[in-house]
Amino acid sequence: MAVDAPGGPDGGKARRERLFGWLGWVGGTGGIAAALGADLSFRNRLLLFIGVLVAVPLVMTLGLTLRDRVPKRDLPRAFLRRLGRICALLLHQSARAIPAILATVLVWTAVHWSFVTNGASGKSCEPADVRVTVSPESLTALKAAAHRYVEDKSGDGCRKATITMTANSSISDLREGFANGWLEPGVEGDTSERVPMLGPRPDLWIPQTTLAAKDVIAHLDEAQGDGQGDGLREKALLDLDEKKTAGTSPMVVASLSDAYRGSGSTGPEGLQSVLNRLRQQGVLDPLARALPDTSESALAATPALYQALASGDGAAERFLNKDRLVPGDATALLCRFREQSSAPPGGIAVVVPENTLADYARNKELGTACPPLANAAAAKRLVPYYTEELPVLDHPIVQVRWPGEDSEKRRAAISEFRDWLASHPPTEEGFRDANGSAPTGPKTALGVLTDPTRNNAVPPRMPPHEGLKGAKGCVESLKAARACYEAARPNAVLTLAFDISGSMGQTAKPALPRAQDIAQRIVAAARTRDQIRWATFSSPAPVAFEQPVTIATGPKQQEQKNALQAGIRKITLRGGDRALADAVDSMRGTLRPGVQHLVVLTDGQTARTNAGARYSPGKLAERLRGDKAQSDLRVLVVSVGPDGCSAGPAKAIGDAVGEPCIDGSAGTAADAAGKIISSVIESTPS
Amino acid sequence: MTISRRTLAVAVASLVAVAPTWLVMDRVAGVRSAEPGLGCGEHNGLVIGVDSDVSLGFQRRGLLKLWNQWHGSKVTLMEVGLKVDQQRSQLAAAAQARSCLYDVLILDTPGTAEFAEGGHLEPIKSTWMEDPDDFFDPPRESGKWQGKQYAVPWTTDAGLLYVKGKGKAVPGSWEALVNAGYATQLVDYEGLTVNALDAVWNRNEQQRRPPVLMGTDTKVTVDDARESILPGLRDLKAGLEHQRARAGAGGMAKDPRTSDELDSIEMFAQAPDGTVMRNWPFVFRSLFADPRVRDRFEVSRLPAPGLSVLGGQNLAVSAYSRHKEEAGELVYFLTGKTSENRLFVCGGYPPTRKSALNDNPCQEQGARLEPEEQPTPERRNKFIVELKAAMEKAHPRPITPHYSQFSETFRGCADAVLDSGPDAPEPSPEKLAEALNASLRGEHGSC
Repeated sequence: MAVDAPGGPDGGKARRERLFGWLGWVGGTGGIAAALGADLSFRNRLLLFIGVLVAVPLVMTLGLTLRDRVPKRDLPRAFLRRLGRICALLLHQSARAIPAILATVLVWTAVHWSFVTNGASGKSCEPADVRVTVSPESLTALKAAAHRYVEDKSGDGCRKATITMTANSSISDLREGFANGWLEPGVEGDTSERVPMLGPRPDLWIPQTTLAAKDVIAHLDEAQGDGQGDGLREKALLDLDEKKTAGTSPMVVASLSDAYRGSGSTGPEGLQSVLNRLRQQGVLDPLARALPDTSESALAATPALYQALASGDGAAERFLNKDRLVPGDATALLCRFREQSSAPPGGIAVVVPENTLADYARNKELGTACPPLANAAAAKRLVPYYTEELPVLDHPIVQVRWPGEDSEKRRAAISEFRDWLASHPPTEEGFRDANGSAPTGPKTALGVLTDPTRNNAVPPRMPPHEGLKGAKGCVESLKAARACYEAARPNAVLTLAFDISGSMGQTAKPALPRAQDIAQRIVAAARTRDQIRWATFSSPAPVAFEQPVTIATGPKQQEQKNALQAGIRKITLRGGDRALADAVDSMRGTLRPGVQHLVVLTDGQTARTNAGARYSPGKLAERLRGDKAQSDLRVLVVSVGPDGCSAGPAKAIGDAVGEPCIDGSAGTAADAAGKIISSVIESTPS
Repeated sequence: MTISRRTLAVAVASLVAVAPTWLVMDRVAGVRSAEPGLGCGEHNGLVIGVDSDVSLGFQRRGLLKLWNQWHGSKVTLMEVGLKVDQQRSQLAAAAQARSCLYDVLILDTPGTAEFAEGGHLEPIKSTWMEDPDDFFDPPRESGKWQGKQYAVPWTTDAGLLYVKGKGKAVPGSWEALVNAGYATQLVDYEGLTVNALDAVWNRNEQQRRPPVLMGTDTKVTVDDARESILPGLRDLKAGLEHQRARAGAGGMAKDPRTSDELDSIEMFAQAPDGTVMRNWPFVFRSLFADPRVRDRFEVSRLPAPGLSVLGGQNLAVSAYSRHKEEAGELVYFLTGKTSENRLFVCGGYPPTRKSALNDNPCQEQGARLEPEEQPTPERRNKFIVELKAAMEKAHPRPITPHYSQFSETFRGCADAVLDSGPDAPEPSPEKLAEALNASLRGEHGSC
């Protein structure tokens, strides 16, 4: 078939066919381009449209040339000749089809109007939802920065983004979360009816250190799978640009007393020297830092602390847990100074990020569970000490992409916030810039840390140093720091016993999920050669034990932890109250002799179901003392019920067995896990 | 007209040309996802995007177990977190990227308009909604956008008043309540919007003014701001100050300015007799389970005029689901009469259906409660009477696709009034009206 020249012998029929063909081509391709490219930017839609315009005559020509069975040697010439004729035809028809072209352009413009007026922002004033995960210790400052960004970028009335910020700095959560669709560790995506997430999947992750970002990225590189899971357990793609930082903040030692008063000391000095000075002043008893398993900053500070305490890593770790109330992160550590009822002793010193201390001093919210004091004047003043060895946190901004949740428009909005934050570090909220500089005048966020009676004001510059400081072998990476920390902890033999009576699911904050969350974190923190098992108790069924698991080394360790966590997550309610004394007594008889801890997670139960001589705490204590085989058994009662340890059978049993009841209802689950782990470390014989 | 072979050839060639071009552009520009082969979140079975299950005895999970047993297909609850704004953020981000991960979405009632307007929801088919006339009108209407049903109401809520102490009297009027002081949830989250709207609507009703910031009434005049919104927010502040004054020098376990619903319960449990709290119906059952309270409290509808914000959650089918029909069947099951009744009598969730609001005992097997941990039949009956009365006076928040922006702006304005003082004046009526109107249009507004 030959292509007819314009006005050829086909007459009216041929002209109609050409016209319909042309209208179909322009309208069809334009319509397809508009419909298929609905999520593209204006530029890319234009490219698509032009691409179609070019491709169609080429394909037409090729098809028609091949159909005519032109000899191979004549093919190029025949192709070019036909292409020329087709283009001539199209150009000719274009002139005649101007109304149709105009109509197509009008329709196309109407469909794309928002892109013409709004660039890549999509629908008029439809903000992109940007999800950000940060450390609890940075949450207050970075939330304020995000708020400022939204204000800054809404000058024309349209908002660019809605930013939702959540907190998490547990390295184990982050490693497993990024590798498994941001599901909580131990969740079986394929088989569970309920798969709890760690929160909204982050588009940006702002860890406290570049080391943490590298640690997680290395884990993702090693993790199995290619990001094409079952939709639930997708692996994230992380983009770390070390130049993009939200600002820096040094770790500091802080105490209620001023050990420098009148000494004339200025600027940062050696950590050991600071600790010695505090010890001489009697304000280093104890020294507390958050749980390294759930606080990235605490883990990063640990090698320097071990070296400065100079008593051997094991003894140093025990000293750092002497308080027995080690919380999940520095916000909870500082929050205790706001709580009148459980305020720490005056001699305590704490290791915290400077920006979190500034939040505390300015009576801001700390993390997610510590509101400001109603009476700001009642706050206790903490004095910071700057050192040469404690790390300077550098807060890299890592861009994250999740399969199925990534589009060009969203990515543009996310990148824009990332770039803005990197160029506007929140120095007004207690951060320093990328070089470690910040205004420290009296009315600045860091200025509130200055004590006018002291000679050494807040240093205006604390430049970040490369890597960590401490003993060789502990500072090369966060993984190395974690290995040293784990080696310093005594091995533990734990039985986690869950009360599964009906009341554990009845309160507004159901106690069973809380107990499960706490247990998950304890399992996540387990070290090689720890032995863990779990059990359930209620009435009338007998106590049910699972097999103990001895934590292995290497890749198997994570598998074991996942299996334990999955088992714990599947625990459900059954039966009624079994008196606590009876439950402990039953379990005592089943446990093998040896140094071990029985951790009882309960809502406290009612007095009525714990009545009777057999169930009295005193009798239980007698039986425990009389059991020679179990002389090394420690019973830790953790109350996850609404009234904590204030009264009831949980408190009575804790008092009777000599291990005070642990309030697992307050603060975050990580805080409660921290209290349990520090109690285990502190009460395990060395 | 017959189509010539040439025309046919042109049409086929056009399609052949478009397909590879499209594929190339898809990869280059990341229309579906940025990397080749990343997919949209395909999965087996059905996935529901939800907040954490805090129903008493975990009844939601129980329903899903039943579905899985009966249907042989698997439903997975993806629990984003406890907070409604976090859940919305996750679902909205996924929807913006056209993720097919979620088949069924659980939306806070005001969120339906936002998701429907964005084209993220599949219109509800008649086969996905059992007996529509059995639903209470306000929750059923909350599932509609521009006259079309996009979501089916699953749970509903209305504000109730809780008074600590057995036989303690409940304030008889809104004014008496404000003067007595009452515990509210005023930290920066949706609860602040709810409590502020309660106060504004009741003040407005007392003054017999037309509705403001209620349902489809989404235009605020300067008069509305001056006569209703600012006075209502001042009532909220007065209630807060009286509550603080009642607590005395020792203060409250949890101050309302830093409290959400659960914090308020904590405060209530520790507070002396006579303390008054505004909260949702689920609190009734949980107070019985709290050893510090048990049956030592009274519950009633809000005092006259008694208007309250309509709460609750709707179920919707994602427009990007690859399993829409099955997802629709699941919505039918979860919002059916049997499921609604179970959620109410065993889980404490007020039902969206008239037929489910009864005092049948919970038939659930397995977990057992001690007698003192649950209400007597008489207390349950009395509670149902108050709940029905509260439901009749519950109204939807502004129905707009920009609700989340409105709520954030409104909270900022409420904060400005609550924190006002000699050094920080409250916003002017003009400023307030301008900010709220901008947010209701989807533009940035700020007091």
